[in-house]
Amino acid sequence: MSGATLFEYDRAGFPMLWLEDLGAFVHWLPVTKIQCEHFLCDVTDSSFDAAWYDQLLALNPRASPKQIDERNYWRAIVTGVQPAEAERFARWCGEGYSLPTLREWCDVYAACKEVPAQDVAWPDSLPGRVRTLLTKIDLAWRKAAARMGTPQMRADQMLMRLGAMEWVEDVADGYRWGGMGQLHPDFHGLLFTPDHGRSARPTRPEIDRLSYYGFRLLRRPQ
Amino acid sequence: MARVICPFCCNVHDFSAALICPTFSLEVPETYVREYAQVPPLWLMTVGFPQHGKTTYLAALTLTLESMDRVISGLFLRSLGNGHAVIQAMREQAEEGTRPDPTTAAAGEGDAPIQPLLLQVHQMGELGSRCLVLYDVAGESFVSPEAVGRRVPALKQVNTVWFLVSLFDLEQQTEKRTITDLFNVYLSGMEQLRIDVRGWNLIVVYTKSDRATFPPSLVAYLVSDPLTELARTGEPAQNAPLFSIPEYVQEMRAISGALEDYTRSRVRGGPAFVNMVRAKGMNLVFSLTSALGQSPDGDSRYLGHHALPYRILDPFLWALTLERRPPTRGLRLVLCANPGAATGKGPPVAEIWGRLTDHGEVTTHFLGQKRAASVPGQPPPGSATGRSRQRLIGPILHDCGAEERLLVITDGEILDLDDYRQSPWCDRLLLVTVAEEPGSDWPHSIAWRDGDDIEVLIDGLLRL
Repeated sequence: MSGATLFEYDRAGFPMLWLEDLGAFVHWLPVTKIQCEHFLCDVTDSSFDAAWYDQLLALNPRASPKQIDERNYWRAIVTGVQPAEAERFARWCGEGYSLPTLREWCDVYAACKEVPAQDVAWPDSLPGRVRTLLTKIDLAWRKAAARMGTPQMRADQMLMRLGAMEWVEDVADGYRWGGMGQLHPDFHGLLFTPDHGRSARPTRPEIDRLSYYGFRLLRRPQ
Repeated sequence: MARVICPFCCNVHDFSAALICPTFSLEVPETYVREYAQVPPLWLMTVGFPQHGKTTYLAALTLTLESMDRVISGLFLRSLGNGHAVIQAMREQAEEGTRPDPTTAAAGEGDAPIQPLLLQVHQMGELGSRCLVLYDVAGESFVSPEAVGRRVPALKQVNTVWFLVSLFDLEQQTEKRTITDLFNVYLSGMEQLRIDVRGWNLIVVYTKSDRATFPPSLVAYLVSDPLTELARTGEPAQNAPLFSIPEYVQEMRAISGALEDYTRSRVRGGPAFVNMVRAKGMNLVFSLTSALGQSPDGDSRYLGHHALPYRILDPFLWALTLERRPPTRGLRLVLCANPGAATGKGPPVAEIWGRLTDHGEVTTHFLGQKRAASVPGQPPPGSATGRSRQRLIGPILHDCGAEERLLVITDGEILDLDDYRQSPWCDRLLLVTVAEEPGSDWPHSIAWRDGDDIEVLIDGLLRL
């Protein structure tokens, strides 16, 4: 990673990349199950009980960081989350965190899709399993991209492609939520590309649990 | 600082709201709590046969320390709690030329807790400032270890023991008891209370040395105490060299070696005693004292001369020198979160918590809940409350220090434990599985069966 790349770390120890043009930090990867588990162990909301997480795991099982490879790396990501639950997670993360709007997500994508992927030396101070997960996902994604012949840009490295669909706020046609991203076909079949700048429109985003929908957050410094 | 180890029940309590020991409803001195960090406690206990000079020694020590401000610049004493009254009585007895009443005011009666004497010694030269938490326990109390365990919860905290023995009285008494007998009584009691004495300091104090027949070199050491002159005149001896604690301690070491030789060769049961103490892994040193410098007249409390203490400070300096308390071990007890579930299944959690508190500060958690269920000094709740939780441990480990050890008791698979394989946690976490199916392949794991001894779990954790 170039010297100009600036990261901060969320309360679970996961990196967020500073994007100068956006004036915000953005999660390097979609929110993972480990981050979600920190949230689950900290909040007292009765809705986030064992059964809630069981539903999510049934939709997209958990993989331990050491087990991650190019055939399962999406299992590290938390999916099946509804937008309101993602917003609750953002509030737990702290001041300034939010789900991105469609425009913000596209700005991040535009800033990263022409920048070649680079090796990142994560600091030793990161929790061991977080470092393992970041390293294993990076390896897994590179193998997957090489096999499929897709580009290896920073946006790909951040799993904005070959990752999960991600919730974005996009108020239109009586709906508030849309999805951006590009799925690995082994994870789920959905013909969609973020390159057009339009969001995918799930029919019942606040009711259904879609096994391939996750999210990432922005943080704007106050 | 509000969270300190209570001098009465030895649990960690938060005294910010009230200065009352919740276990015994005794008032904890405000100064003890406020100055806990600057004047940390030095836990001491006297053990000895009746009439072997324990109480007299403690009185002489206290009065000697009071006069040490004349030879150690900056030193001063503060008695806390009931210590004021005890020390005042000692002063009056010294004035009257009587020896102290063998029953200390702090001893209590029946099943009441034995209260310690709390005495702050400030600025004791190179040895700093300490608050003596001093328990006067008859050796024979250990014949009923459960009773003494109830009355002196500090037994598990006191890692320095003054073992007071009058060789003269051992020889004179018709029972013909030996020093080994006293140690056996003490050791059996500690073993029944399941208190591990490895690494503890045993300071043998030969009392009433004015009456024992020590070799001339030891007698010469006894009578050449530079502090005796201080007690006689209230002033240091003219042209006396400055009192140097390091030099004094160096001489004490040589004397301890000579006394050990003497014990092995001349004291009945001596070799067995030394061997037994060393075999138990205790640090053993010797000192000799004479609290009064004379013998009372028969059974009378009255003395023919004013009392003059000899080498009274040696056991105290040994305690300060040897007391290298290991840093408090952080232990976490992690339990399954089954809100409202009956606790009949699995190992007895409260008992395990109690045993773990003998070895460190125990914080309790429920799997899937980052916030502690109980803090050190606070017993774990019977069961979790609130919503059901996944068995997750990562967020708990996230907040643990590098030196902490965890005992995790679970009745099912922990969702994220695999994340920590081949990590340092493998050597710091003991997993106890309660379910019927075969135990976990976690590197340190034990499958709990009904009727198992919890010591297996405690030993397993302490070996990590």
